[in-house]
Amino acid sequence: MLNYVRRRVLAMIPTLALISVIVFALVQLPPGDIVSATLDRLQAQGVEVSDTQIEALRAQYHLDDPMPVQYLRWIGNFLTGDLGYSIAYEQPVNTLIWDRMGYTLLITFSSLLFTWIVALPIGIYSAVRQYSLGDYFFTVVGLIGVAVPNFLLAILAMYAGFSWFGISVGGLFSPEYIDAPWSWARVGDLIAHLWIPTIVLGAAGTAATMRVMRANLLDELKKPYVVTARAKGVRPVKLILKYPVRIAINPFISTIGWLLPTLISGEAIVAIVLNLPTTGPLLLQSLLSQDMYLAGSFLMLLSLMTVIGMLISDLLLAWADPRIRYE
Amino acid sequence: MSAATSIATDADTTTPMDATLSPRRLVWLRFKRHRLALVSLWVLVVMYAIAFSAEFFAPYAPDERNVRAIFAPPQQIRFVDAQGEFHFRPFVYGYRLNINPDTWMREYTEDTSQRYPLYFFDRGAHYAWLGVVPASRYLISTREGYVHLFGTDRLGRDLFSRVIYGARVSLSIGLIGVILTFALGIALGGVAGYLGGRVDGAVQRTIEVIQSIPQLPLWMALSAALPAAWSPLGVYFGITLILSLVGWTGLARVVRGKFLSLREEDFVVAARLIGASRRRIIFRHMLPSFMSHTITTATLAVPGMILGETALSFLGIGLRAPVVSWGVLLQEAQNFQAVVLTPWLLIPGGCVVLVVIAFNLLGDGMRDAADPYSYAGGTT
Amino acid sequence: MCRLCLALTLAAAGYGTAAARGDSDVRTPSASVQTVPYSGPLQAPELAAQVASGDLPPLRERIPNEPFVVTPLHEPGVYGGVARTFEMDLNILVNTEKPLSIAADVATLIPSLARDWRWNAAQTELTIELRKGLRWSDGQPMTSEDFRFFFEDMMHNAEFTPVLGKPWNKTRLIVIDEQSFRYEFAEPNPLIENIFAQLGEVFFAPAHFLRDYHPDYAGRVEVDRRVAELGYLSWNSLVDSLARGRNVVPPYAPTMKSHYIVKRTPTRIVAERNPYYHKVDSLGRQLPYIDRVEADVVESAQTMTARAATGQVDFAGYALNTQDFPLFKLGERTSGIRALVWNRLHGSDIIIRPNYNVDNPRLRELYWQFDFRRALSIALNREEMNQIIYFGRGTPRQPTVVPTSAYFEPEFASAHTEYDPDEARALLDGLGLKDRDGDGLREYSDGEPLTITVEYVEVETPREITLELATTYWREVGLDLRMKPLDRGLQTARSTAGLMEMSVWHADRSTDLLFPAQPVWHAPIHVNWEGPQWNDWVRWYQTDGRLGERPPPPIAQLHSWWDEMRRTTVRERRLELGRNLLRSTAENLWSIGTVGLAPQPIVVSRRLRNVPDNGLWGWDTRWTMPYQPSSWYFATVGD
Repeated sequence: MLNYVRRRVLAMIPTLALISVIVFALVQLPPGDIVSATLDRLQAQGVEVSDTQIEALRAQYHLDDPMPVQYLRWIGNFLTGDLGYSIAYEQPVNTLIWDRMGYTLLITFSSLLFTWIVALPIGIYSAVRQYSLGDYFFTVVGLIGVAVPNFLLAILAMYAGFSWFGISVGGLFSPEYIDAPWSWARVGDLIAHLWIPTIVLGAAGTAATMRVMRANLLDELKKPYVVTARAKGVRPVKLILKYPVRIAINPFISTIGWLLPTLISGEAIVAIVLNLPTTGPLLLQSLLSQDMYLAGSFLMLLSLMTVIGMLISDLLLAWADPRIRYE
Repeated sequence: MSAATSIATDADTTTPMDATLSPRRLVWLRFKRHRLALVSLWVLVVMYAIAFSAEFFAPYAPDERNVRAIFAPPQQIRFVDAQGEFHFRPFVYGYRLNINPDTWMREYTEDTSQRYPLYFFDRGAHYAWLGVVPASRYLISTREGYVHLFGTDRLGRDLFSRVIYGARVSLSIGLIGVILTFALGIALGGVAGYLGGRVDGAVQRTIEVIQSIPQLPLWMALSAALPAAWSPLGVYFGITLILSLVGWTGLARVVRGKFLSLREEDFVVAARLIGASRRRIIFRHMLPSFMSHTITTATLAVPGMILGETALSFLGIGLRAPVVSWGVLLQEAQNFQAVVLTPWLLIPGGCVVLVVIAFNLLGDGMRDAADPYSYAGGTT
Repeated sequence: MCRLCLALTLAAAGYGTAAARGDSDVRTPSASVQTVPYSGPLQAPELAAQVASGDLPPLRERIPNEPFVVTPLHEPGVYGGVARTFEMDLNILVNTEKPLSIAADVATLIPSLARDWRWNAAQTELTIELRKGLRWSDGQPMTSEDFRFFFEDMMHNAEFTPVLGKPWNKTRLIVIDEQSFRYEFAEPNPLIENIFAQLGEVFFAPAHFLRDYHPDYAGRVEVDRRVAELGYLSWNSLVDSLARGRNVVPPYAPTMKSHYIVKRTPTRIVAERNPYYHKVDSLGRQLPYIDRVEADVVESAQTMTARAATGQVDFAGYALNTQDFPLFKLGERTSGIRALVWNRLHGSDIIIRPNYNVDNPRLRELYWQFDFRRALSIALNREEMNQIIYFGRGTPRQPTVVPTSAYFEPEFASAHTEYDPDEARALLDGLGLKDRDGDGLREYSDGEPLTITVEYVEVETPREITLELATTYWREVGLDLRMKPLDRGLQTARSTAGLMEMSVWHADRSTDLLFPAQPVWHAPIHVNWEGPQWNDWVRWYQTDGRLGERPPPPIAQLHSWWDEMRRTTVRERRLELGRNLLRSTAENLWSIGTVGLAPQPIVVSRRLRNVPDNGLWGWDTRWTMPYQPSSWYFATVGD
């Protein structure tokens, strides 16, 4: 196992390196980004005194260095935790980013959890009671769940939150808890606010997972050992839960791998609509202001999150299914 | 055909009675059994037809304003008028606008003294179909007054017409995007699968990397980098390209896997032994043999593209006015005001949902039909 | 950039600095505590408790011996309550404090931090005398030193302000004593007092606090260490961020405002009552009434609109749109808010500004043709815009002063506002712009496509919908306008660098407070984040021809009018020169107006009192300055 972990972690490194190159290229892409516009402006002002702002900018972004050197410096700083300086916000990126990353993680994982908690039982039910009324109902619900863009769902949720529940959508806490220290009451308040984004974000994933679970289990149920067991009179509940479900669930660990990027993507747009204090709104903002270093940091961190998520998913899978380790 | 027959011979084992039918017919028959998929196919055909001939189906040009009807609700098509009299020709009533001095609300009521009969296939203002063919027929029009079946937006533009013109952009982005994706996916996936080795490794790694970057943020970053001065058409293709650049990886994976497994299949080995050229093997034997599968995958990728465009435009970094797409239309509806006061602005959202469902069902149906080992509700 | 914005703002303030003593010649005597038969507590209960426990000095040691007396709009309030608002509205609800201020009539200058101010006869020397006993929110005395520190160590520090514009580069500051100091200008600068009232908070800074981050005081090594520790680019970006209260990470600079920041995260700001605030109500009780202000950082205007309409904030205005009035009115009936209709002090809510110095010779040449500008103007259907965007409650208008201004003449507003697309087409034909490829859009005479990209940032006034309409109107006469939304940060950079082809802003500075001091829409005298119109001519003017580009004669004429206007101490002459500028704008259409004098929605909690039902809203009055928001309070009864 340890050997497998080592191999898997090592394999991550080139992936991350490539991602960082792509992200850096993106950061360099837009013409007229805020750094160059700021430089243009300073130069247009005809600064004849030694201008520390220009120098500081040039030094910060090493604009006189060749691209590869700039890249290495950027990634080097990134690795040491120095995410640079946001020109648009006139703040170090570090002060802007971490709270938001935390909430992004929180929402993403609560959605993942929600997806499983809802999708697995329904999937099992649909498979066991194939072609029942309930099965058809969930199939239709699932279809709609996949088809409704999550920002549309977010708008409707925002409306519902405002008008029916009186919840201050557009935040994760009630006003009285925002500045309070952590306590059980605060956790409760967080959960009371978290469910809207969680459901909105988890909807599509739940629908898809439901269908996958149903199909996997149906596959499994047709296998001879199940048929044999049934013939031998094993109780239905035990019959289904003991082996087929366990085997059908196995691939679920791997859903982290494909669900996570989708959730993180979706989180960006849902958070923008619901105005959650997560990465989404700031990422959009940084892209709009072409504050590309801030955007780059976000992109890099979100990708890092995905890659680590996939790693965890692979490791879990390897732990659950020993065959994988020796592949 | 020869290669296709080879699937059929594989496939035939499941249903021996089909053995006398051509494989294409066979697939069609199986597809037809999937009732929902068939309906979806027709829904999509109709929607694409409407989008293709938007100028004919839309009563107005997308930027035509009716200043007397700002944020006006949808009109109802009627046959019976306020006096209880039946009219063979359907009609709509005009709006009576009252701006409430207290609430500042634009209050519209039906003005029953203004009856606007609807005419079908009538002549109206001249237009150029697809920007080329001059014509002047409209599906629905009024000779006096106006008709706003989906209501109007903040500038008094007819939402029904805008949804139709938006369909042209949104639906075609899905299709063109998938074609590009398809080309990229087959080229890179095929090369990787057929050549294997280092090339395969490189392509695999690239796919892995692109898939590890969350899609929407990546789309956002790319489209934010589109130059401001691009023409609307340029932005359209830019966005399409962006969507496919990010989206080809899934398809490439599938193609690669198929190539890898097919490489060892008897008929390929046989062809190789006979001395068929590499190109012939790929295009003549291997590609056709999993075309159905890839087309299915591609069909299932279309809604992703459509949703992608919608999301980007919704965020204001995709297509922009004066281009009309469903995403652009939804951007105007993304606020609380719209849901509370002008809910009809969310109609384009309904269209998106409809199309996505239809494509999903169609894809499911096609998969079941094309896959000889298919089972109901199956997945890849 | 921070620091440079500041520098630019200052420079801008500088240009405004000539003309005789305001056009508001009325001047109230400095305020003094009124003796009223009131014997209740004079401070908030929790401050009284802190005094009792010895954590805070007694009230009379915390406020000036002659405090600023605010007469509340309706009645003296009660202490208490938490006001919820948005970050963008924070500086409006907790307004900035300046040496001078504007009275509730929105015309008269009154002393604020200053006890008094006087001019010499030539109006070249302005002496300001501060109230005795002013204190920063941390309890440190606020004195002449804070003005000197800003003037010498920030404004005249070549690192902090690389380029210092007129007239500040030739100005001296003489400190007379703890409370008094004198600005000595090289030329008469009578209207600078308007700037001290409108933007006066930028002329001082908490010296005792900022010294620790200034290399001249704390030493460069130590300062560099602190800069690196806090993650800033340079000491000047840090000092600027601290001085303007923008830093998220503590320490927070002390302030003179009614509330000081106690906590700040990237998504939220919490400010509490400043125990040293220098204003009292008519009963002699220290202001502010409201305990705490909590401001959420909300990026999207839509979210702010929704939250305001559903009563989730107690004050909002900055991000609210006229078009959303029905929603706020609906909220009045359901959500415990009041939707007030204030009036925007914008001569024109949106003005469209060609960039005459754009880096595109063909466009530059085209812009310079009067016929082209007139075609742009008369192709706009302003009456329709008024109906669609403003419910018909605005006024179609070119950018000019408000009707109550002494400078106003009706034709300044109405010039070239008639809707005449046919003539617009004829004018464009006459310029050789014809549709040669049959796409309905005009090209240059050699067939090169003509497109103009307008860049805009959606703040304060309805830019997007206005431009969307302008695009369709101009398309109808064959012009291809493309809209590019910008973020605020990028707007500043691209504007001051002169990178846009066309930009829009709202024509504020349209009152007699700011128009004569800063006629920025009418002459090339200032570069700022609003958008580039003629940056190269501005630079030429600012540097006496050293930089930039020599302006053509009609523009040079504007400069010479302005040079005389800012210096003259004769009111009649100044009026005449100001009208010359306005007439030139009206006749030449240097920028193109749309609809002005528009209604502004303000949403306040139904419990929030002393807020005027009808106010004048805009930059000129700093939105709420004449209405003294520190005297607003929450009623304990009723909802």
